[in-house]
Amino acid sequence: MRRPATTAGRVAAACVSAAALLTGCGVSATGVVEAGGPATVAVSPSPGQRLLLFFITPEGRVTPVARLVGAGGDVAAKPVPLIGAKVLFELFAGPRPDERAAGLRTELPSFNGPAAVKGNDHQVLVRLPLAIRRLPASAVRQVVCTAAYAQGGDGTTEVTVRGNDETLPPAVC
Amino acid sequence: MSRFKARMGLRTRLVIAFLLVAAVSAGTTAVLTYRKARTAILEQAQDTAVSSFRDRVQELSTPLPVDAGSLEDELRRLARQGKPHPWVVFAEYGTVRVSSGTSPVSDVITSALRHAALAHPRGSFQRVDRNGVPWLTIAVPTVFRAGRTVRPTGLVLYAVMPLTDEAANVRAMVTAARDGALPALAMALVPALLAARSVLRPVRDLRKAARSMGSGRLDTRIQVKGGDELADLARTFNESAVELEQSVGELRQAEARARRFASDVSHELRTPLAGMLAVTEVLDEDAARLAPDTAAAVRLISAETGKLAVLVEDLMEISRFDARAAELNTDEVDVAQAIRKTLASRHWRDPAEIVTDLPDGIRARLDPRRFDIVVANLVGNALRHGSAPVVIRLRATVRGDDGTAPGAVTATGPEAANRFVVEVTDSGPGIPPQALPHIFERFYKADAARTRSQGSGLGLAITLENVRLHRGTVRAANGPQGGAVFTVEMPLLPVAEVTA
Repeated sequence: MRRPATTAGRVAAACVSAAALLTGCGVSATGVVEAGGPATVAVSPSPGQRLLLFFITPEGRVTPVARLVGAGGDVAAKPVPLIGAKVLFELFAGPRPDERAAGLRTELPSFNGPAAVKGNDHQVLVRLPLAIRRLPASAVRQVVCTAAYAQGGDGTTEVTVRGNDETLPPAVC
Repeated sequence: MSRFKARMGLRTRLVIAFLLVAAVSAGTTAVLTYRKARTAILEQAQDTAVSSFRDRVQELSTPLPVDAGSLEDELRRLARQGKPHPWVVFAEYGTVRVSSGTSPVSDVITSALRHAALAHPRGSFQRVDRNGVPWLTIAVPTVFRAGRTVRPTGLVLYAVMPLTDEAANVRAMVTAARDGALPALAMALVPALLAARSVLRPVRDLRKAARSMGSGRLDTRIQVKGGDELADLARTFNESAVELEQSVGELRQAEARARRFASDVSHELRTPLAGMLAVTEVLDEDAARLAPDTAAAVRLISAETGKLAVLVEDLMEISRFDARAAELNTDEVDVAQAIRKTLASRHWRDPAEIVTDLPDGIRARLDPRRFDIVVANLVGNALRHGSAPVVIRLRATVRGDDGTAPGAVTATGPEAANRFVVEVTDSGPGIPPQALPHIFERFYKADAARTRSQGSGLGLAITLENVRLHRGTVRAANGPQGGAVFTVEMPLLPVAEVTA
């Protein structure tokens, strides 16, 4: 009784493995497979003529918009703190109509009072005339990223945000 | 399972095993090749598509936020450069949805792919099966150089391309694998049959030899070919056959010596016995004049000498049978008349003792002398051991050549009868059941207490031999009324003459 049972089992196992090998004929669906890096595209206006502001996408991500700033060399000619404060002003003014049409929004409250950006290429202090404790993280990130590009232009600057109520630890965009 | 195996011949099993091995190897090869080739085909298509799509997307230039109108123009341009197949290009930025096709949003792109493209700035693809059509969907998020770092622009481009050509190629490979495997299986049949033949021929020879040996031809040998296990078996068979032949030969010689001895002894006893019989006859005649004691002794000697003479005659008869020297001297006789003649010659005429039912007209070809011995032995036996009346019945019967049971004559008519049956029934107590199987053995005594009987103890054995010589049968049984019934069944024509 044992032997036939094992023979039958062996035959069944062979059939099952053959069936397993044969299944998956044709082109099957897959999961998401990573394949290489992203595509690097050119963003207009060119780096010297643009101002990068960071807004929130419908998915809740912080994403840049590039705005044209005056004639060439305008940004470089003005003193850095003024530029930084102007950039912050633009940021707090919120997305423009065409940017809103693309689904962008801001999580920052409207600006009321003097803001200041101080520092060099490596470290920047942003002073905001508002309570920042209750600001959502994405709103803080909007400020950090915008300031990182406003001051040094290379986005690696360490940004410290200080509000009326507290000072946040330095952050990098 | 084992019964199933037993029913399958060796050839079937060998062929099945061969086919199974061929099927497994062909199937495995086909499947492995197929999988490898399918992977290669798909990987090539995917890699080409992903890298060429990324290359095309790199040429893009866009404001942020994107301008839907100009982006759509760019997508149309991209769509014309699809590689390896035409693709439809979709772009997603915030709430902006633009495509090179008619619908701005694709229903093939999964949310998993969208999520992956937004979460990590890396290219990715996914194969999707939509209504049985395989699609390749590629997502390439775009980044731009901002200062010393690159930032995602938030714009993700998707290419959607049907993989119908690849699917067709893959299907063609399945067909090719199947078309390759089936001829391989068919070809495997040839070596399978050859192997089965090479195994089966020695086995068949062996079977033939064993059968021929079983039917008595002990000199059968097998031709030994090769040095495999079957050849070993054949060699062993031959050796065993030699030994068997030797021992059987020795046995036969010993038996022949014993028979010749019995025959010689009986022969040697015959002459002195003849002399003794003559003397005892004379003594018998004179017994009346002798003293009573002496007379009794003389009569005893006379009676025992007579019995001894009968015994010697019977022994000689039996030894003739053993030496196969007994011959049939056939003559066509009326069986009823032959039986009546036997009864008359033995003076068995008393109707109180003998009751006969002998229909005339049953003619048979038989040896009258031997048939007389058969009838006389059976009737004499019945009179001695059973008790009167003894009934003798004769009838014709039919028995097919294939050995079917005897049927009634009336069913097919007397002319169809090919056998006759003689039944001798006595009215005695019958034969003890334990004695029935041995009743025809030599010197067998049914009643152990009666050590001395009037017969030689060879009567029924001689009867059996005589009936066998006629190719008939004799059976002993007990009738429903208790008497012993001896039934002799013999062919009307001995077989030799039927076939002649």
